[in-house]
Amino acid sequence: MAEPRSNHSSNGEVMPDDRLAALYREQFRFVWRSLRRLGVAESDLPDAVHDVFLVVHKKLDDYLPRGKVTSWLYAICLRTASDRRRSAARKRELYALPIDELTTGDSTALVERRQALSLVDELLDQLPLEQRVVFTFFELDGMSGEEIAELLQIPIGTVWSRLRLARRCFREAVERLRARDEFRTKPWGARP
Amino acid sequence: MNAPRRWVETDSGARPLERALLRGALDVEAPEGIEERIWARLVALGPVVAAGGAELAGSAAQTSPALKSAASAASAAHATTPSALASGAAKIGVGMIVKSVAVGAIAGTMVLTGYTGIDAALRRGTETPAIGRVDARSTKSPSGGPSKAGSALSIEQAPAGAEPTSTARFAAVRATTSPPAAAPSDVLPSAVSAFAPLPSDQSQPKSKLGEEAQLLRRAREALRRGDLPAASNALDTATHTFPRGALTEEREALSIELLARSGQREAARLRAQTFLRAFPESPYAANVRTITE
Repeated sequence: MAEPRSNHSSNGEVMPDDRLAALYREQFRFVWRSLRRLGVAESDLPDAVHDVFLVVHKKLDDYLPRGKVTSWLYAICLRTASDRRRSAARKRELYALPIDELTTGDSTALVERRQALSLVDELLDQLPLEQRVVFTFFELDGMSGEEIAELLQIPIGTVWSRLRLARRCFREAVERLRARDEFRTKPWGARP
Repeated sequence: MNAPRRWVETDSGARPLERALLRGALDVEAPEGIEERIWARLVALGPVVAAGGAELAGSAAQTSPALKSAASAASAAHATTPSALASGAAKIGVGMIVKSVAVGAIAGTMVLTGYTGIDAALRRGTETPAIGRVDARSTKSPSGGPSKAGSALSIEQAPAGAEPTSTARFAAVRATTSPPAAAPSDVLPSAVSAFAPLPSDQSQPKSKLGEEAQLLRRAREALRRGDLPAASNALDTATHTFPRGALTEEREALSIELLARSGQREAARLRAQTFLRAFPESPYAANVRTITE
C-alpha cells in the first residue's frame, strides 16, 4: 500500500509521529499475531501491543532501516513477550480460581471453548521459545521456511531443525496430556 | 531438507488429535475495532505510563476522573482475565477439546469470546469524555490549550507535543483508507464504534492460513446467528480464494451445515456421505452425521 500523502511534511521528510502512525497501521496485525504466537495470553494482548508500540515510539528516531522492519519489530515483541510471560506466571498463582467456578452455570460452553484454546497454549508453553516460534509461524501462520529464516535472521537449516525438534516436543506434550486425561477419567476410547 | 507438509493439513503425518488441536489455534486475528482502541489508548495514556509509570498515571487520574476510569478499566481487565485461562487449562480433558473442535467452536469464535471482558473494558476506556477531550484538543489545535489531561500528557520523554497530534495524523492516515471521508474530529469516535475492516496491507507478511480460517470463522458465525446468505458468501469466497486450502475439511463441514439449514436436506445428505467417506476420522464427522440424520 502506498504511503498516504499526509504522512509527509512539506519538505518531504517523514515525521516521527507519522512514521509511528503509519507503522502502527501497517504492522498492527503482525505485532498482534507475533505476540500471540510468543505465548502472550489473549487477554493480555492489548496491553502487550500497547507496550510494544511504546518501545517503538521511543526507539523510532534511532532506527535505521537496514533489515526488514518486521525483524526489528519482532525483536521488540520477543522482549515484551518474555517479560509478560514472567509476570503472567506470577499473576496466575495470585488469581487462580477453583475449577468449580469455571464449569458451573450457563457459561459452560464459553468456558469450554476458552479452556480449549488455553489448552493449546499450555501445550505450546512446553516448547522452548525458539522452537515454539518456528512451529507456530510454520504450522499455524502458513509462513514458508524462507520467510521465517528472514524474519528471525537465522539460516534456513536452523528453521527446519527447530521445526523438527518442536514437532517432537509438541507430540510428547500431547501424549502427556492424553495420559493425564486417561488417568483422571475413563479411557478416552471407552466413551460412548 | 525440503519443506515438510504442515501439520494442519490432512495426510501430513500429524495424528488426528494433534491436527485438531492445531486447527483450533489457527485464527488469532485481532477482533475488529480493537486496533483503533489500542491506538486511542496509546495516544491518551501511553506517554504518561512511559514517563514514570503508576505515579504519573495516578496524578493524571486525579485531575481527570475519566482518564482514571480508562486506566483502571484497562488494568482491571488485565488483572482478572488470566485467572480463568490459568486454572482451566490444567483441568480440561482431551474429550472435551475434541468435542469443542468438532462443533467448530474453537477455530474462530474463541478469540472473540475469550476477549469480551477486556474488549468491553477498553471500549469503556476509549469512550470516556476525557479521552474524547484529549482527542478533540489534539485534532483541533496541535499547539493546544493546556487542559489538565494535557499537562499530564506533556510530562514525557518524547518530543513535546508529539503524542497529541499523532491522533489527528493517524486519523488522517486512516481517512485515506476508509471509504467515507470523515471530518478529522469525527474520525476517532467513529473509528472506535464502527470502523470498517481495513483492506489487508501488502507490506504485512500474509498469513494465508489465518485468512482462510477467518473466512471460515465468518461463515460459522453467520450460521450461528442464522444469517445464511452471509454464511454462503463467506464459504464461496473461501472456496474461490483457497480452492485447495488447508481447511477444506472445515469448509466442507460448514457447507453441509449450510445446505441442511437452508432446507436442501437431500443435497446435504449426499454431500455428507462423501464427506464421511473422505474424512472418516474428522473431528467434524459426528456433527456431519447429526445434520443428515
